[in-house]
Amino acid sequence: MVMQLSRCPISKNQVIAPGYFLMEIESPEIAGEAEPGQFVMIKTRDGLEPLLRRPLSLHRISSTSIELLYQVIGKGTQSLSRTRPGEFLDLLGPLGKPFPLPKSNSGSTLLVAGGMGIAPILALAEKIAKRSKVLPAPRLRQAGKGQRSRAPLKIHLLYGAKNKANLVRIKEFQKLGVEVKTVTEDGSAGRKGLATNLLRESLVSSPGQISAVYACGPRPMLKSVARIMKNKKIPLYLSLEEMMACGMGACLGCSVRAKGKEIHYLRVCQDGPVFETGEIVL
Amino acid sequence: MNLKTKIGKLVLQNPILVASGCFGYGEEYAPLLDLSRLGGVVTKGISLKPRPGNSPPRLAETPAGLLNSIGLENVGVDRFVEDKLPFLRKQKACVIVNIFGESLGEYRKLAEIFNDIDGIAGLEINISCPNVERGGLEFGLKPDSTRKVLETVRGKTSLPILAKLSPNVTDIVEIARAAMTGGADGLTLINTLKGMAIDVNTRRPKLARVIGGLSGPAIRPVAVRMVYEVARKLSVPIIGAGGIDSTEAALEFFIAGARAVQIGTGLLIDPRLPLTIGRELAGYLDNQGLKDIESLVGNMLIEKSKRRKE
Repeated sequence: MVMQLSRCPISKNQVIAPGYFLMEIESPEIAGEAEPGQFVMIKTRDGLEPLLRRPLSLHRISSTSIELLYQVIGKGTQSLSRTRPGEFLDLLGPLGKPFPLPKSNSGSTLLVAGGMGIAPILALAEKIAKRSKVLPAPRLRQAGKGQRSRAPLKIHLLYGAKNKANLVRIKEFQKLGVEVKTVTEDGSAGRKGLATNLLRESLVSSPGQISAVYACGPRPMLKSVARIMKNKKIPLYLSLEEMMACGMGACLGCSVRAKGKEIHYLRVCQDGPVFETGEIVL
Repeated sequence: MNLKTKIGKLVLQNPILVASGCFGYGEEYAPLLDLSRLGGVVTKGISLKPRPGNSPPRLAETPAGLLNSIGLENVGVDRFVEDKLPFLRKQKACVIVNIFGESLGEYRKLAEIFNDIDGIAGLEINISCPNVERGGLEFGLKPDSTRKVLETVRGKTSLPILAKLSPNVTDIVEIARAAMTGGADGLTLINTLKGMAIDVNTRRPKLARVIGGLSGPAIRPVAVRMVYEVARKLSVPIIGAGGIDSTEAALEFFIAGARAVQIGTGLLIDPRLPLTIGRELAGYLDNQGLKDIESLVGNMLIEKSKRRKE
């Protein structure tokens, strides 16, 4: 991984839903190295407020640019929302470990997203979809007949948000052929419930084998996903959000407890932000 | 332009160092800046045994500042010497090892170990970390215990030693004097100020350990003042630190009386800041008609009558 530190021009910064922005930044250097699950540290504006860079996960990666999806919450995202195309932002990245791709190119892959957790999931879905198109699906020898049939990988998005206004980017997933299921906490769109309800149901109803489960969202959601997937023998990858200072593993500020008897911490920025469920204690 | 500076017997090619805790063991930053061009690399605080550090959250951002309670997480002296030091040496960094003990015995042992190891330019004695239960700040709050730690280390090493002092004291000059009496070659001023922040929505402290150490531009005026006070009252070599985020900020410390500076929190924001400051510093000296860094140190212009009133 080659990390870059550079000033990059903004090519797009659009409101895509109330309070949600989609930003595109031109950087062939970062885009060329980046993988889904990684993030960039952005100095959102010059000056002392906010003081630190902000970590933002890669929402989409093209050959020359990256896209970031953010909701305006605090000082960092506020100042980002005020920037315009043509302006430059100071970026450090790509950083962190990417999502490992499903080992098998058949069966189904479940993507669980809660709220802003949707951000890195699109890049992942694009990568998995692209790979399953490039690689032929494994040919399964059907019992007795000696006939070969194709069973391509199916991607399911299980997406929960507070309400209808907070469900974003669904069309982009559908364009990839991802089967999208949504829930909202208040029932304003789809059913009332949490993304984890969808996960429980999918485990029961999903035909064929589940090759991997990926989850990104608030800590309580990740905890609950980990609990549901316990002893299922399906690879589970969790993408954590954490406040960071350096973003590259030096300051030891963004720690998460590692599994094991002895107290030991991992760095979300460098050892993560994507962890396999067995690595950490949530 | 000659940027060479001396902290006692410690000679630095330039006066811009990176501060302990913000630079790890140098590995992460090495792809972004040439470590051999830094005045010095002060390592993460090293203890005798590995330390896991404090439970998270360990960070909180405050106005122009950063609260941390990392709790001296480090790999311990054995792994540092085996796994981390060779890298720093290979990068040709001027390595200053920050050491931390929970007892005088631990400081003594660490001093002994490092005295026998090649490729170390000096030791920085951490008696000012506010984020640990035992040791650290406990020693640095009183002149007597400060002097004892320095005497202990001095007795076991011929390396240059710096005492990193805490601002959380009533009279910094008193502590500074004690450190020098104990045998320090110079002082690093200042470590973080104790602070805390509360999330009013959850009514929880922002740091798991409640109280942490404040760094960043918010503390700079306190740090400049402490450098100035110590430099005026005692004739000792000082490395200034505290919220340096620009060349102008670094210059304040030199003019106040520091012979070198350390960049900490500023690095987290701009990893190349030390090199930028080094470059701009030379330009500033040129503009001011000064021939070297030496001529700037403590060279604050102030009328004698005002100085007396302080």
